[in-house]
Amino acid sequence: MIVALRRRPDGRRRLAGEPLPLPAMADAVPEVRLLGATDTTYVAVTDLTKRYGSSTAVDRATFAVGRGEAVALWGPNGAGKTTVLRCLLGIARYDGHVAVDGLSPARDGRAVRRRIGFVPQELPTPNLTVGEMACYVADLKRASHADARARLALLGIGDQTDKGVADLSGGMRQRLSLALALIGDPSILLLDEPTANLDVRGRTDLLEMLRHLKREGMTIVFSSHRPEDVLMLADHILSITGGAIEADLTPQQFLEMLQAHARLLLHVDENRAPQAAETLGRLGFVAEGQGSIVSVALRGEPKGRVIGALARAGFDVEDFEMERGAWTGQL
Amino acid sequence: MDRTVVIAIATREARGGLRNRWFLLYAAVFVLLIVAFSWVTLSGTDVTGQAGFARTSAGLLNLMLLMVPLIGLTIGAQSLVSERQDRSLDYLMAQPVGASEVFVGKYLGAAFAVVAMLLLGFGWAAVVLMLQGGSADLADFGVLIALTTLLALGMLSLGYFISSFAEQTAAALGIALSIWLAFIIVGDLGIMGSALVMDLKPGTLLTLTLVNPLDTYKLLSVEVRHSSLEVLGPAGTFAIDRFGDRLVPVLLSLEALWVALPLPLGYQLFKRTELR
Repeated sequence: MIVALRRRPDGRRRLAGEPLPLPAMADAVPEVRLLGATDTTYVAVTDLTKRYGSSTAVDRATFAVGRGEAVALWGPNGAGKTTVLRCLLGIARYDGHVAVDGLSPARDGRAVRRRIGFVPQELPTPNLTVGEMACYVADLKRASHADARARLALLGIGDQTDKGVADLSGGMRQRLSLALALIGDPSILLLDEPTANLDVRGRTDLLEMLRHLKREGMTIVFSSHRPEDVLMLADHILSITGGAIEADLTPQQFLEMLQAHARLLLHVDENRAPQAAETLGRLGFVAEGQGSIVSVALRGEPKGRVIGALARAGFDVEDFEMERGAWTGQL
Repeated sequence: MDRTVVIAIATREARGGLRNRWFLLYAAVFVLLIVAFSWVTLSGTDVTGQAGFARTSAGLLNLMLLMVPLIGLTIGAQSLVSERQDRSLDYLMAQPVGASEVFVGKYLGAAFAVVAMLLLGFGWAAVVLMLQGGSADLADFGVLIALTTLLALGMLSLGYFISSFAEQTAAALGIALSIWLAFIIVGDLGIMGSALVMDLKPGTLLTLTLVNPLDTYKLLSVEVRHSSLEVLGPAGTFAIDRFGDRLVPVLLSLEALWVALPLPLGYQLFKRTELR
């Protein structure tokens, strides 16, 4: 199996960094299910509430995830995304109803976790080698060491088994994390900000692997605050703010929402940004400026209109860029 | 409880412990002290090696009373809480394992590492003694190793108990060190001072002695090796009068209680302490 994965279908050796082979099911389109449990529902959550003392981390969250779906929990840091994942794993006590494959994480925690592959934001780095770590996780999941080795090979780190986990780069560590999650053949992956500590290449690699798994039929629930990641992977997006689910969006709706809430960052002469923002404010734009950067909230307005308005007011716009992630989920 | 999972967690804990720099530092200091102590003790022997192990055992007792509780308490106290703090416990609990398997497995792993450290220290001491020609009372040395292991496990359990509810490693270590000081200083000096000031009766003295696992260890070490408990003062004399032949089983049971009792209590707290 390992040899097969390292070679192209035509038998030639696969090059380092080359994308993994696509399975036969590559063209299968996962069925998208939005709110409302059906017979294909894999995760059903109703009125999930989690409190830590007097603060409410998750407030009556209700959603469903269908088999083979990829669902993003999207929102700013502290919105409650991780807490939702912890409740699904059964490692946080909660109020409300949660079912994973018909099982309650609170009651049947071990059985639920047997179905879940978990990828944390940051993999713990014990004093173990990659090989030891994989065998350890395989033992915990009652899977074979051969399975563990196969997963490492699948993720392209089969040749790193003697390397210390702590010595891996961020990208390689996240690959390892995903390989560990896949040991034991889980039917759902839970990923907590999987790309948060990765560079652009690492992010793209990881998201490609996840897309591949999704095409194979894997159900995926992941938290993220990166719009690009969400758009690349999710079938639908649960926007969370302050522990409450504000919206359940399709990627198209999500994109529209982002565009409607995008910010235009304009570079003007040093120290003239506050003055430029004031000028834009008088013209009806929502803008703020500091130093040489003016940040303008775009609510569908063409970018040229803002730039033109500033130019007519006597400001030199030296450069500009778009900030799409400015929307934090608040509708 | 799944035995394979417990063994996996214990093995990983022991392996991680044996590679931990603090653990290695402890081990190095322990081995160095025990070997140096054995060397110095035996250097003063007139007849080459005669009763070398017995002399060394008696001398090592005080070193063990100081070091072993410190090692056991601090290693136990860091065990769960440090992983809770750096979220590696989160990752472990996210696997298909139960809280009982995690709790037992991690304790067994830590226990293995601590016992390995003790055996390493005593082993090197034995080598030094043999190289110097020490020959007699090997059994005496063996008894000291066994009793010290029991004490170490008791202190590890107590430290583990602290770790089961503490939220910060620093807090857990603070509590562990306070308990260590209480056992070492307040226990001994406190009992002596109270006996003088309050004119305590031997029975009360004995009770106060028996609640301190270090004093129990001391009593046991002296009694088991057929020495006279009278050297330990009125409490020792009263202990023989009070318990007679049952003294050793009673003392052993008390030491075993320090191993066994903190674990179920700690487990209950561990289950209730929510991961964040």
